[in-house]
Amino acid sequence: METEATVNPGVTWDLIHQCINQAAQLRGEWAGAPMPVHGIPLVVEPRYPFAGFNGFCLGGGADPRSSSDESDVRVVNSWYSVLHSATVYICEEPGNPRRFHVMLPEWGAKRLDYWVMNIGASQAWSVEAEFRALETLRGLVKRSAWESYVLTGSFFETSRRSGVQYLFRKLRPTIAIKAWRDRMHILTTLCLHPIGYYQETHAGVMVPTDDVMAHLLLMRSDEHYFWKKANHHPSWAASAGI
Amino acid sequence: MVIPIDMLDIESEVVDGPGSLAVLNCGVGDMKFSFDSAKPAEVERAKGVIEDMLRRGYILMIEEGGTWHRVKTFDAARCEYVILDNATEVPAAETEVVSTEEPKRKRRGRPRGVPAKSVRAVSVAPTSGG
Repeated sequence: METEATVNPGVTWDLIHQCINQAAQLRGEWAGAPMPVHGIPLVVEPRYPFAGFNGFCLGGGADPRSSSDESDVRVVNSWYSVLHSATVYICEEPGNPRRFHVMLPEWGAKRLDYWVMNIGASQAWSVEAEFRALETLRGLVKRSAWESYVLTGSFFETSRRSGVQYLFRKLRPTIAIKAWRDRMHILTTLCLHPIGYYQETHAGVMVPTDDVMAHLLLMRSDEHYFWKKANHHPSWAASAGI
Repeated sequence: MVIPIDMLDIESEVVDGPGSLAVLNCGVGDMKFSFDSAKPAEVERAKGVIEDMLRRGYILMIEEGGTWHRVKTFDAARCEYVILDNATEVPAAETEVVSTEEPKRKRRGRPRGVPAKSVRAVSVAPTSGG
């Protein structure tokens, strides 16, 4: 039966994947090339050969999540308000002698925004790549951790060196937890992606399980480096994914 | 040096034993390849791949005896990963005898070679925060 796709396939995501993979192979780049998606700019590690993709997204133009007003508002200072559970920004703009403040809550819509944008970034991944990554992860962790990951998208592992407990999560920063005075305390959340990630999302350019493996193996092999390279998000921030 | 990836025999099945190297790849999923230490051609090809990865800033990690280590360099002549042994610090609080000597300094890990054919390795591209 002929479908619209077979009569006029046009440009498909599979075709774009193939072209980008071929470009990476021709350059001998082992880890591949980042895949741009519509409306979500890439943030690429500057040392990576494809750093030219930094800030690029399909469709071009301004980030649809940003304001359409092209003003020169400048953020002078910002802090987190525990009272309001929001980040307070002190701003100023040319021509206005008085500074003003904006409060953006760290709950509700901002967290939903991350969820929705993660789904948008998932266009860059393939299900086959995720399944391959799952199989690789299976050979790296205990059966109980594997089952926990398959069922809940997360698993615990304790560092032999530092005693810090890590909660590795799919599509979320890793949470570092330490026991102190009979209670568990969140030390920080660690966000790190090989090659790069999509702006204002938890999504890396690799499939989610590859990101988890990178976190896990870096923790095991060089915990100090893991903490040094990762971005630390406080537990209250929407970016922490808690 | 650019090594065309299609010239390599990339394993399509999971290869996680000694002498294997898995590369996290964002396009096709994980690439895994292994080399037979009894075949000089494969060993030479693996050397080229590992040296190329390290030159490009990839992070290589190996598993030896259930412990993971980060690879610092690669000794091509011996086909060995060079790692730093994880040194342990002796906390001052654990010493009962008050000593007039200078406190012990933290010892840095000593470089040690690990034969590439005897361990499995995983490679990760240069990372950025998120």
